[in-house]
Amino acid sequence: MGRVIADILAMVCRWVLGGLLLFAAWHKLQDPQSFAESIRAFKFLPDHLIIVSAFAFPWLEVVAGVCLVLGWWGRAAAVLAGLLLAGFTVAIARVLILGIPVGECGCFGKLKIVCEPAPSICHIIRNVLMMLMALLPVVVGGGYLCLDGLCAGKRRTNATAAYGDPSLSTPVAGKSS
Amino acid sequence: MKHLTRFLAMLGLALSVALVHSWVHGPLVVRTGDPKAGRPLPERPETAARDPSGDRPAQANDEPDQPDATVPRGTPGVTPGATVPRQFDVTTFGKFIDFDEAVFLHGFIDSGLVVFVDARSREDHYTAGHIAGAVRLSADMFDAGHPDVDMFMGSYPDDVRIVIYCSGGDCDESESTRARLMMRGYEVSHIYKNGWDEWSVRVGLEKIRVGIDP
Repeated sequence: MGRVIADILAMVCRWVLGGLLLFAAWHKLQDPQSFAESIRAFKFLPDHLIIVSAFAFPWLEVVAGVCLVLGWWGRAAAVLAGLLLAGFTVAIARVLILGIPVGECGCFGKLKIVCEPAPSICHIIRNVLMMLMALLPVVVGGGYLCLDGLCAGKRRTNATAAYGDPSLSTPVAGKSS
Repeated sequence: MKHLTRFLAMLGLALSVALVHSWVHGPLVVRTGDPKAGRPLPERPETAARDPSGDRPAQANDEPDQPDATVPRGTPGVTPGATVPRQFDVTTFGKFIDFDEAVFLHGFIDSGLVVFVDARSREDHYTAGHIAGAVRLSADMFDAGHPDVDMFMGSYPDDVRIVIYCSGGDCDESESTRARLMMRGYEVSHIYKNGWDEWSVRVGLEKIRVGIDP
């Protein structure tokens, strides 16, 4: 029963986190110039990395988001999402600690999701919650309805057919990524 | 090891797509150095403001000054006989400004301390009517390398105070233009959020001496 609940939670976390990442990426990709401005305001990256980051971060979010939603390479995607969120959180915390004036965090483009546009402790809490959502698929796997699970199930079926013993196969469908 | 390989593959995929995207999108402009504070505005505009017809200066002395007003008579936004709604301190103006603040700043257009930028993407909207003295600079014009952008940069110092407007509402066009201006060093800018929709109506209703260029 506990395993079922964990799988359901992992699936929900994958979908919610993946959806949020795709949503955030979509708004950033609408206007890379604005996102570059937001990055610059943080004074976190050297100037020559700002343009690279303005394109790279949204596409990293897209890749992580798609993989999380589909449950394909779920663990690696969750790690990628977690690292991105950790980086954003450090940048926001640095801005708050040093008192650097930043008008908009640029997290979801121009939209206000839960928190006000200006970086605040609210953003840190929100990011920590999202990191926890990323942690669950890493620990327990992708849960239900994930492509990794389909592949694992197929491998298990093949192993069962070959050896006649499911215990010789890889983990339960939906748990491996 | 398997997960590390997948992680690196995802990184490579994302960075490859980002590289192609940056190539397709064209260069971003990143301004280096610390943000500027902008030149302070004098207490009053040096010159009389335009009237709606654009060919006659506003009457500066037709009524006495309001004793508690920062905005002088003859300044756009001060209807003869009307009470100035509130004090203005331009240093407190945020990213978004309202109608009264926009009207106040409009009074400094002729001094060259403030410039209004029309960010609406459609040129026919601009030609159909715009705030008097406003320069049309849409995000598309920046991206296309329009000569008016270079002309603007040659005409205005980068510490000029810019008021950007578009049609109104959320108005992504103002945000996009503001981002492009900031990347070119114009960091002192405000978005008049309600934009042309409000200006065109209220200027007429309140008989304010600020222009609508035909």
